[in-house]
Amino acid sequence: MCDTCGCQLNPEHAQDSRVVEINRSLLAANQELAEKNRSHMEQMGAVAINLISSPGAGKTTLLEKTIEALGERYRIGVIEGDIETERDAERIRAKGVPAVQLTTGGACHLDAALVHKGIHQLQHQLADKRLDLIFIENVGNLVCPATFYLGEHKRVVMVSVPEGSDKPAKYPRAFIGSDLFIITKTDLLPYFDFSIEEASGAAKALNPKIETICLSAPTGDGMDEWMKFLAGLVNR
Amino acid sequence: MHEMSLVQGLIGQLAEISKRQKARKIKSVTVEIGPFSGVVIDSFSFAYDVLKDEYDLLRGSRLIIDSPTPVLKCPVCGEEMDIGSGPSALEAAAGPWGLASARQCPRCKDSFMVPEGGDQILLKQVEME
Repeated sequence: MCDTCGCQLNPEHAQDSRVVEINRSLLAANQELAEKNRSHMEQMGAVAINLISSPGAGKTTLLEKTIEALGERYRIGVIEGDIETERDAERIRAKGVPAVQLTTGGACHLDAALVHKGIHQLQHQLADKRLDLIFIENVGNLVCPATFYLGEHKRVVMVSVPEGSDKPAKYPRAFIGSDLFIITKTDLLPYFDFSIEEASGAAKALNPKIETICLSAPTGDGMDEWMKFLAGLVNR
Repeated sequence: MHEMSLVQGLIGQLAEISKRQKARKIKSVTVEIGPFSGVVIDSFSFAYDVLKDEYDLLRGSRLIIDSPTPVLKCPVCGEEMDIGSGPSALEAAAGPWGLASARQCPRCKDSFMVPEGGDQILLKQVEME
């Protein structure tokens, strides 16, 4: 029945064999679950942010500083994704907010099913089941997490100064799907050959809607803009 | 690296479909992988070949991959530009950052050309018996 594989040459095959049109995304199951995650988090009153970067770009540090600055004003919860260890969740809990650690056991990204589990665990830690902001810190990887929608309202991609300004051009998928681009560790700009113009220009070329914020979490430089971005989400 | 989990998802869908269709064997599977999907076609094929032998349903089946040509499109006037295929397509879409004029729409010059579509990963067709 099929010209491409030549099975029409075998009459026995031709009798039973049939072709079915499907046209369904391979990510359809993930997508459906992600939509459920989104409405689940909305029912909790929360806006969810998916943080994507390579390992060591400063996701957890940015979260620690964000909690220090906004922890009094907003109810924040964090879902941490890593291949192994509780370390990141412990760092977040030390700042006094509920955190859940998801360990993928080897997988290079979070998917909607894992995050679904994470939301339930997070809710379990809350007295009133309500949050304003949920940060989902993805597994450190600038490639695979970009493919998997988790139900987030905003996706934020981060590159640190020591990584180099060629990263948006080299890892384009992460920038095409993101709402905000954060360049971190700007206190190190004097020591590295990093061009903010190159990085933000390439991100913009891939995705005209993406905005760029440059900051240093330890010095606090540029953190205001990040706070403004978050406040704009919560108050909508 | 996530190609393996995508193939596992595909196999889950194939199992469901064959159950519904009362098929006992899948002969070929056609998948469309968009050039901006971030999926490496070779890794995807490799993952399929490794995993198919673990399932009676899929043993001996063939994976056919379609990959549409990537284009850049002007969001203002709709002008399209073919940027070739292969792993360099995305790089062509990203740069050259410094030469804004190189990315300017050749027709209306009002905007930059941006990558258009092609980020789908679709299960298109299954041949079974």
